[in-house]
Amino acid sequence: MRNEREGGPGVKFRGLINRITGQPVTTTLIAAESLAIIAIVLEGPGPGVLAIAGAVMLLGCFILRKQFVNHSPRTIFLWQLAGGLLLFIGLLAPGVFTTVTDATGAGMTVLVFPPATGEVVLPSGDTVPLGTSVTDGINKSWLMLAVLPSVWLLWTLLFNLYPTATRNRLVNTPAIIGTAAVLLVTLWGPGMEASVFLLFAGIMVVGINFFVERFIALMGMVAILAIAAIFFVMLKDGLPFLFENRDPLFFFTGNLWYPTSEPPLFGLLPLVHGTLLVTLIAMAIGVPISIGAAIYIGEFASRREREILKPVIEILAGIPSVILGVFAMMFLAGVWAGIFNTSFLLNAWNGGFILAVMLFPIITSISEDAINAVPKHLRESAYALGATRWEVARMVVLPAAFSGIASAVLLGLARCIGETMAVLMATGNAKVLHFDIFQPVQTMTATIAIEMGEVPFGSLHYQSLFMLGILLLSITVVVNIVADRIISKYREVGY
Amino acid sequence: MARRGSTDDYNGIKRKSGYQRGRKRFNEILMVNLSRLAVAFIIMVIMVILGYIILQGLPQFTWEFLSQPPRHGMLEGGVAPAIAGTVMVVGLMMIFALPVGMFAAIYLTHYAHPRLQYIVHIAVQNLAGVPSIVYGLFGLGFFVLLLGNAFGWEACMFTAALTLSILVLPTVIITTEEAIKACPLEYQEAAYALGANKWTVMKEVVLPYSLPGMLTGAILSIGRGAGETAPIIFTGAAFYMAEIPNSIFDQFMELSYHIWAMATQSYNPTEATPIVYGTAMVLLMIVLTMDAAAIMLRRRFRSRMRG
Repeated sequence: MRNEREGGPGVKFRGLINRITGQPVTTTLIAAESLAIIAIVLEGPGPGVLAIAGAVMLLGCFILRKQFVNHSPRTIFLWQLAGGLLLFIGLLAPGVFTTVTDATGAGMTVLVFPPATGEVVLPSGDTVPLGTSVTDGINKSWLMLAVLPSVWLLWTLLFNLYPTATRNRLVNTPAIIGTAAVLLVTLWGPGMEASVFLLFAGIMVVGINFFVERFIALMGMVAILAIAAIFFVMLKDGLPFLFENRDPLFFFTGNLWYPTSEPPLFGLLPLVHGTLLVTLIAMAIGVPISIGAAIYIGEFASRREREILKPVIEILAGIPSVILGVFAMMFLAGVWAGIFNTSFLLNAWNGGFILAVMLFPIITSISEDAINAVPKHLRESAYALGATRWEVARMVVLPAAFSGIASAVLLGLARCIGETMAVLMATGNAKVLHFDIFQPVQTMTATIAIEMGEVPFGSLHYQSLFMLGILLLSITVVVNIVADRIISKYREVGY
Repeated sequence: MARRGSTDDYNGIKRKSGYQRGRKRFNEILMVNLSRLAVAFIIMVIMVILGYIILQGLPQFTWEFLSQPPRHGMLEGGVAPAIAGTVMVVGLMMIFALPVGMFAAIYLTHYAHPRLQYIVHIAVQNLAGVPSIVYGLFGLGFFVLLLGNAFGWEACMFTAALTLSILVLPTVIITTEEAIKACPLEYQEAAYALGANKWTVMKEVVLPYSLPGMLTGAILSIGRGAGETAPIIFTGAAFYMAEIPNSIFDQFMELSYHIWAMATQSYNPTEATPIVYGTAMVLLMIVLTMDAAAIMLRRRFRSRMRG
């Protein structure tokens, strides 16, 4: 059967080639082909013609594999062996064949055997000197020629001697250690080309699946690594502030943020107050309107209305925050000045309003998902009892969707606290503690954005800004974890 | 006569009084229309924002604006270097983020132990929630300073693209995960029954099926990455570069950074305002096109799933 001939995984391998490589013939051939192409690219024509011949043989095996099915595995093996040998020799030949010019000025190619000394004796009897780089190259090539096949065979045997269960585990420690050792040794000894060569030989040995699956596992860790790295860098650059500052408590309780005064004052209360004020305004405006809109879209809107409304709100989600900030700074500020007759053009109300605009798509879409997830039978039973649409929404749907809506609000809260560009442009940036929403404030995020550009690396000011970052990060992480908990608890209820 | 709030037993039939029914009807009409008002308000805000930006930006949207570099103290000319810089940095960001994100999602859905899945899920959620300025600080502290001192580069397109790719990573992972999970189990089980490897099943069955979903995620993240300013302020964006960067280790101009810089740091705000709106319109065009493409793709993908 073809599958057995090819040695499909999970099937008992029959053929000799599969016993050696442990993988289907095609995988081996593909790996060998790529190797050949690399060799040709690196070495060029010339003695590399041997490499080309080997590559052609292997390519032939690959193209004709369907015809090979009816031949014995031994034939395939012999073809592959021959092709692989030619490939090996072709790759390394340029190293061991050297072109020298003899006394008469004619060039000739000689085969130099190790150990290569500083001169070579021609058949005519003359001795021709060789440069050290040339002798180094010759010795290295012979080393590779001798070492690589034996390493490859050893690796194959090692890998195939393991029981299948151990061999196929995702974190296969012996294989990983062996691979790493082999690659490092060749990197140190024969050099980088040997390592690359062995890597591809390894693909031939164990098959591409092995490497792909482990590569995938590595990528999967990237998200964890990324968040860990973020925490690490923030703590590393920010925590020293608490130790180098002579009065760390002032950081949390002081109400003056003047990093450039003498002595510098780092009290973050005005900044926290700015963030909180703007967030409060944004939530006060944004949450009711968003939830109202979500109820309308989820409950009362017809299908055609829904099809138009949902994409339009998603458009708002895609507008970059700088553009919203520009809009708030250049247009909205004037509008508020006209309506409320404020004395300051850029103020907390402006920032809060534009943040509410940014909240609309987030809270609306997540709440609407939650409202849609409420099972139809709950609604229908309420309608059957004679409830109006709003009564159903208020007494049945909203309580059922409450946790989804709560997590939407929390996610919106996290977004508000962490938003930078829009509030940077809209709030006026005055680090003052006051409760008048029509006066400018400065948020923590805006402080970082403004002051980071002019701060000497490693100074107390630099570290204080990283401390602000730590604070922001912690708040958003906590809010996200709580929101996630609520969502998962909400999923457990059985929807 | 029954009291308010109770049902009246009239001829053996229980019903609410006319007063109660009128009140219910009034409440219902009131609240439905209030929520309709809420939606209308949101839509109105969107229209006003888009309309105003387009109105103010359209006069500047000329071929000269798109193809000329800024002149005369950034107050004349165009934003061509910024467009080029945006395209380059977003392209680089996708080269970093797309493979990593897709393979991470494949790992999460198919290879990971459930406990590990939960941890990675939490990590991705938290990454998604990190404020963009904290990404900027992270990019500065890690890519520019830590790695830069080790490997010898400074704030440049490379570091900015790395920072943006981490910003965009959660979006890619989550959308790819959804796309992969949408592949019917029957298809995969059929492939396993035929003797295929885990990776072979992924490669031949799952990935082709979820390719549109992954593409949606990629396009959404392009839109997101192009619009972010805070991460690139300290990690490589420049206010003015004489020419388009030649290597990825140069600084670059970028559209969103240009908007911010011209709006807040120009020395002639009145003359800078048209430039700000013009650049905003260019950025808006790019982002909205990407979002529209993603929405259309997602709609086609969902209809295919159902059918």
